[in-house]
Order: sequence, then C-alpha cells, then structure tokens
Amino acid sequence: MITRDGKNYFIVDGHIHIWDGSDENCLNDYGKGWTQCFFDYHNGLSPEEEKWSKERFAKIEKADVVKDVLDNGGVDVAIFNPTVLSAFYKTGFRREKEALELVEENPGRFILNTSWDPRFGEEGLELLEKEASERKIQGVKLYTAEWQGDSRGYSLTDPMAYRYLEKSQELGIKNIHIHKGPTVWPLDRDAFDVHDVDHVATDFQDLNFIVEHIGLPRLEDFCWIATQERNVYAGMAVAMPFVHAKPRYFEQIMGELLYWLGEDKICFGSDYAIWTPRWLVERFLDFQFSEGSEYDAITDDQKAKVLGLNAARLYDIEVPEGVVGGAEVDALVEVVA
Amino acid sequence: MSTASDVLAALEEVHDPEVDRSVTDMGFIRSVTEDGGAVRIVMQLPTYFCAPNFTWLMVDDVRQAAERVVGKGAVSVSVEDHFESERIQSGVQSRGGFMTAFPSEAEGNLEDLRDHFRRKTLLIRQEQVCRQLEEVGVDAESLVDLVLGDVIRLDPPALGKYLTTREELGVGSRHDDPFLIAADGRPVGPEQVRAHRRSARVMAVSFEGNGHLCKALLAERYPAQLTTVDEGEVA
Repeated sequence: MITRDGKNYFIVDGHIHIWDGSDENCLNDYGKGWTQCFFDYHNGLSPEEEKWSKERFAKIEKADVVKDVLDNGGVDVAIFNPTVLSAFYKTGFRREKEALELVEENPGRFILNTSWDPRFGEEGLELLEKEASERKIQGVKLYTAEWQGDSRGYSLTDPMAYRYLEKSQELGIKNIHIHKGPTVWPLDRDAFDVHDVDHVATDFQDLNFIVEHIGLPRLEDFCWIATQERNVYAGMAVAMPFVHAKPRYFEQIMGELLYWLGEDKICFGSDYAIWTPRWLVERFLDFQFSEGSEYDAITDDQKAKVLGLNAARLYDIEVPEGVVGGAEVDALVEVVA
Repeated sequence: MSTASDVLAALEEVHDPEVDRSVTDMGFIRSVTEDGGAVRIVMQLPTYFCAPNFTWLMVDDVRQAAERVVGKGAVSVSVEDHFESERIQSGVQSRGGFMTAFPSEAEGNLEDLRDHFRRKTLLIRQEQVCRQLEEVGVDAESLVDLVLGDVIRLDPPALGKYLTTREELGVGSRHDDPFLIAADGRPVGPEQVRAHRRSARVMAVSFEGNGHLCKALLAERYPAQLTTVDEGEVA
C-alpha cells in the first residue's frame, strides 16, 4: 500500500524477477551479453540515487526481493514472471526454488507464474499438467524468442503452441504474459511482430493476453491489436521508468495507451530487479499531463487501476477496503460473477 | 574536406529503419578510418542482441553509402560486440546476400522487411507534414482534398524527407497526386482520416520510444564514445 495525499493505493507489481545472472552461472557469452543488457537498461533509465553496482545487480537474493519489493517497495502483491533462458545459464536465469520459497514464506504476497515452451512437445504438456496439480498456477510467461537447440524462437500460432494454450485454458491458467524480444529466427521477418497475439486472443476468449513492455518496439501494432481484442492487456514493465528518464515521452505513452486500450487494460510492472517499484510508483502518482496537452488529465482512479486494481481483477486478488477505486472493483467482480 | 569526413557525411543519409533517424545521429558509427584509399567503418549498437536482420540492413546501407563516395571494394564495415558480428560482416563484405549468410535461419531476402518499415516511415513523415500544415492554418478537414502540389506550395519543413520516401516507394509523387495516402498508396477518404492519423501518431510514438531506448542503452555500453574520424597518412 502506498499513501499519497491521504489516499491509499493498492499496488500489484505485475512483473518481477529473482535471477542469477552472475558470471559463475553463465554458460556462454550469450548469458554475459544478456546480464549486461539488463544492467544497461537499469543504468540507462534509473535516477542516479537508484543505481546499483553490477555485483549487486547480477544475482538477486530472497532478502533483496522482500526488502525492495515488499518492505521498501510498498507493493501489496507481486507476480514473478520467470525468464528461463536455459541455453544461456547453467541453472537458468530465473531462480525457481527461491521464488517458490518466497511464495510460501510470505502468504498472499507473491504469485509465481510458470513458463512453457511448445518445442518441448508432449513431454512439456505432461510437465505442465503435473506442475498444475501440485500448486495453483494462474499465469504463464512466454518468451517466444527464446533459443532452444537450433531453434531461435516460435510463433504463438504454431500448432503445438495451440495445444499448450488449450491445456492452459483447461488447467485454469488464464493469464498469458508474452514477451517479444531478440531472436535471429526467422531472420528475414520481424521477430518483434505481435500479430500472432491477435490470432490466439481471438481463438482463446477465456484467456487474458498481457503483452509485456507494451509491445515495444512495436507499440503501434500492439495498440491496434489491443483495440480489436477485448482480452489483450498492456504490461507496463520497461515503459514505466520513462516517467523519470523521459517525462514528456511518458506523457505520449500514457496518452496513447489510455486512448487505444483504456484505463482498464493497463497493468503496472516494475520489472524488478531492473528497477525497484517504490520510485516508479511514486513518480507515477506524481505524474500528470503537462499544461496544454492534447490528452485529458489522468485521474487518481485511473492511476489506481493501473497500479493495482486491473491486475487484481486478472489474478482474483482481494482488494482491501479503503483504497482508491476499491469499491468499484468489488462491484465489477460481482457483476462478472 | 577529406575522404573520411566525406564518408561520414554520406552516412548521415543512412537511417535506422526502426527509428527513422540516421545512424550517425543515433551514435551507431564508432569510427571512420581512411588509409591509402581504403575506408574502414566500425559500428557500435545498443545491445549484444540487436536483431540481425535490421543490423544487416544498416551495415549494408552503410557500405553502399560509403562506396558511393570512395568506389566499390574500397570499404569494409564491422560491428563491435554483436553476437552475429562475424556472419554479418563477412556476408555484407562478400555481397553474398542475407540468405547465403544465414542459410538455415532465413527464408527470403530482407526487401519485404525494408519495404514494410519504409511504409511505416512514410505514414510518420506524412503525419509530421499534416501537423505542420495545421500550424500554418490548414484546416484538418481539408487535408483530404489536398494534392501534393498544394503541399509543395506551402513547403512545410518536413516536406523534403516525406517526398523522398514517396518517391522511393513509388506511391505517386506528381503534383496532382493526392497528398493524404495510406501505406499502400491509396488515397485516404474523409471518413478514414481520423483513424488514419491516430495510427500514424502511435507509430511515431513507437519509433520515438525505440530511439530513446537505443540511445539510453548505447550510452551505457559506450560511455562518451564519440565518433572518431581518422584520415590516416595523407598521401
């Protein structure tokens, strides 16, 4: 909970990590390149006082997450979106065991999404089913560009990806987070293309598709798709720090997202540990469109939706009384139920 | 002017297709060195994983722009710290084409990709012109009635680049051609104007965001690394 001007805001951080990107865990130069790239994002868009050393950044411990996200962060519920990258790191980039422990040690405060990859075929489907029988899984993080053997990525429209989406729907895993990122396959096409999301969003009406990083570097295609499909959402990770680094540009992002998607389909995410949630939330609460802007002023209710209420709806998180916009969400849940 | 400076000036015309800014402006040219008539260009990019297809397009465009100054065969272009540095450098150098350099990963050439992004650029530049026309008093509703000749007479600052893109794409650049066109070159009707211009605007926001991210990452990767121009031994 973060209080501003006597008002309480319920905060759901829709995108956090606990990772080991240390040199010791790297399998190859790709891993080193990945960690360095994350660190450059961190340094490139953080305020001076929020910058970390490379050593602190490279490997995140459980105590760091509790301190940075919950205690200092003011986040009520945080969602782990794992990035596996087993081709780059010995034990993978994400620290699954530690994330699971955090979920158990802090009841109600963390949600751990899983990941799947259609290239693991039938075996992967069985593993997904097994995992879902062992713990409640509400969401999955997909990294369509991840390397796997000779393959440099896949499309959500691949027949096997459809099987996994069907299985997810069947298992009640309804939140599909999609990251579009670097890949060299297929090279002559646009690997950042988000149009495959359009197809699956139409075909899987019971699933929610949260496109991470607001579809950047293809914001325009993403906005178009999100306008057509009622079950496509924007994840704000990576876009958030522009509120500090390029405030006038952040106005344009928010203005466009509110225009195209509307206030109910935008979800806050810090992308911790690239950035810590506290300063992002505070600066977002300070944010307003500048004088003479062509966009309408953003209201406290709209900010509350972005910061927590929208993700709370997707993840069935109970919103306490006495927070900005809380009552409205309760009413909405009743209507839906 | 020396040869290396001439080459650098020529590179100002090479654009990053995802950002629509020149590779010199983006800081992607690390150095241009001339030695005994041979020109060596070193590029630096924002991340180790920058997409190889777009990287290839830029490296190849840089080579061609430099060759227009110093002649064919006298230019080599390399990319620092990129996971496909070698294949891109040798592929562009040997002019074998993208398919030859990445036989198992590519299905065709890069011309469709280039065309796709050039059409996005067309819409972004067109919207800039629209805004500049509105600033000098052209009514938003009358934009659909304008032909290119009308716009050329008003001569808004963004016109030159816009016309270049129209010519490159072959979507009509005569004075009596309609000004407001869609990505495929067809005229935009009065009922489509609003949606058309909103799309162009979010496209511009997307491109600008790409530019900000690239610049922020590049500045971390290569702090204070300004472009150097080395003339070598003057004969």
